[in-house]
Amino acid sequence: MMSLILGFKSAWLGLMGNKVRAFLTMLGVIIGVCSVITLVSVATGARQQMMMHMESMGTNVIQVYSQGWNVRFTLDDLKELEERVPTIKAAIPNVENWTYMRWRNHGENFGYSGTTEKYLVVTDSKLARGRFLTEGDVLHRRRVAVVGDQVVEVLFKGTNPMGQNINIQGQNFLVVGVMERKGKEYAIGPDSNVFIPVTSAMRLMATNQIHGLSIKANSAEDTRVATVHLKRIFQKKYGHPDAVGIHSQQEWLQQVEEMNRIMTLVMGAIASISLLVGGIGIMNIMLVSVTERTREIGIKKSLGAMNHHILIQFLVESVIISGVGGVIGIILGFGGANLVGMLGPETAVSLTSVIVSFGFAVGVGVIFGVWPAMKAASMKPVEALQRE
Amino acid sequence: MIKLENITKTYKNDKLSVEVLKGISLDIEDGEMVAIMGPSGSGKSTLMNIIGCLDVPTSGIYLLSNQEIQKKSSRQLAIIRNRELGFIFQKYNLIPQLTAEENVEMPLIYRGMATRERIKRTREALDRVGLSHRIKHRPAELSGGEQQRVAIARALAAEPRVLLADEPTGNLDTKTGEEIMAVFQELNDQCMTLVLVTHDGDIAQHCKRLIRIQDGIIIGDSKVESRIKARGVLAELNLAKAVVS
Repeated sequence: MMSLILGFKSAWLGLMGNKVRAFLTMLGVIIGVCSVITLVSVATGARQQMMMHMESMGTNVIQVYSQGWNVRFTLDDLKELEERVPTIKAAIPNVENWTYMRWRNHGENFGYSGTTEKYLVVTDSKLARGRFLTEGDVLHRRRVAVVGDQVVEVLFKGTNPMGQNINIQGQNFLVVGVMERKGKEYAIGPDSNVFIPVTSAMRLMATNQIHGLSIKANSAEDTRVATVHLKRIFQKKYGHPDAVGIHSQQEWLQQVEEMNRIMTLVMGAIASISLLVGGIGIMNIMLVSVTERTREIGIKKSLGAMNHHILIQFLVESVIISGVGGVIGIILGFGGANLVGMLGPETAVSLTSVIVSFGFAVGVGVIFGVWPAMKAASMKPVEALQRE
Repeated sequence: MIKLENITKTYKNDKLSVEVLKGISLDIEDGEMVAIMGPSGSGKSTLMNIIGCLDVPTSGIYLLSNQEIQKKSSRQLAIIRNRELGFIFQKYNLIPQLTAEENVEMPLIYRGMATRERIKRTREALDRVGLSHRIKHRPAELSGGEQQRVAIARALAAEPRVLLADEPTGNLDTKTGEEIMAVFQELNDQCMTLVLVTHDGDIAQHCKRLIRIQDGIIIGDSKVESRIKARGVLAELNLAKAVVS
């Protein structure tokens, strides 16, 4: 124990005697750890963003979309599916557009969704005020709207939008409800959206075609059953397995996870190279340090230091370099992640990247410190003493 | 105590083979104060390194306290250096970053001694060389004589059976050298065995026995007649102490 403290002290004194050199040696590790954390934070941030988007779509939801072959859905198709597939709870059409909207003299671009009264059920959304669209609204193609939280804030400047008219492409829609806030700060997504009856939306877009559906299954288990069932129905109907794309949320999640895993690995690998280079730098300096302190090693051996005393001293020195470098790297990594986050992509520092990169850095210190330390420890006392 | 039988040492490299020691036989008893004298290149330092277990002989038998040194592992030799031998070098060989106290306690740390005992012994050793007031000083803040006394304290703290000094006064002026010799003589009076290597006849005259070595063989081994009694600051210091008490 005492010999470890002594080793630590000797190592510390050795480093303090060469502060600039110690810092420059650390730099390799600092840059390595910092870049691992920063790069991985980009990947993690992207993943979180995706997850939030996924969640906003509701759980146990199957997305059905046309992949060409002149596949178009109708509202009657929805009813038919709900009746034929017992594992389905509800189905809604996905009719979406992005356009300029006005309230009084304010104007802004927002998305609008043509949907039905089942939207709340399918996407697990909640209403904050008023009412949602009704079956009657859809049937009678009423010009009513339910607005997202961001719309209230940006377009209505916080005034109560209930009973106000929102102008979409020249048509006035009466606001009958406000959605509860869902995400954080969404530029796009349900919070910046206006929900209108699907029939009204299709008229606005001058179309009678629906390109996609969101279908909610009864449970996670039913999602799988329903997916298979739906695939069979559509293949029969259109005569081609690829005519309609059917993806459950779980499948999406798996893909997102897989993509993210690869992204994290690639970024981690790139950053690890700089850690490795940092390690070689440590080894280089440690060899110099051992040579410089040959005489000190000789003195210690003459006083009865055993090989492990010397070994520990130099090993501790290289681990201090890599460990302190790792800590500085972590701090800078947090800074780097925030900086990148301010510049554009969403970033989130993952605890795993911090732990792994720090562990890797210390490991590099040990691995690249072993050889110089062994070289020091195995010196013959008389030869070490004679060195000037 | 120390018994050398026909010790040889040959240094070899690719082309050259130099026999530095050509058969040294020697007995040193407990409580002796021996000077090994010889011109440079005579092999006296090599002999000292072998006695000090820093180097191993090419052939011959070396018994230290009845242990056959050539049969010891490097680990066992480290233990012997730590417990039985105290070294004093010409260039003091203190660790510059450490204070006097920290330098002195080093061999005790290697021994794994508990903190309290270690500090006590360290202070005692520094006290014995008259440096109690300098324990927190670093080597650079001390004079040459003081540095050598720290080195002696370091050797003493380990309570070795024998002190080995290689040109201990070589870097010091005559007066300071005299002080160091006074310390040695006092230690010897307290029954410490001392072996000194020197090329200075005056220094050798402070010892009890003089071994002359030349070209790797012993050419003379005699008792020192008319031994010089060194009077150093320390002796006066101790004298003053004695008067006070």
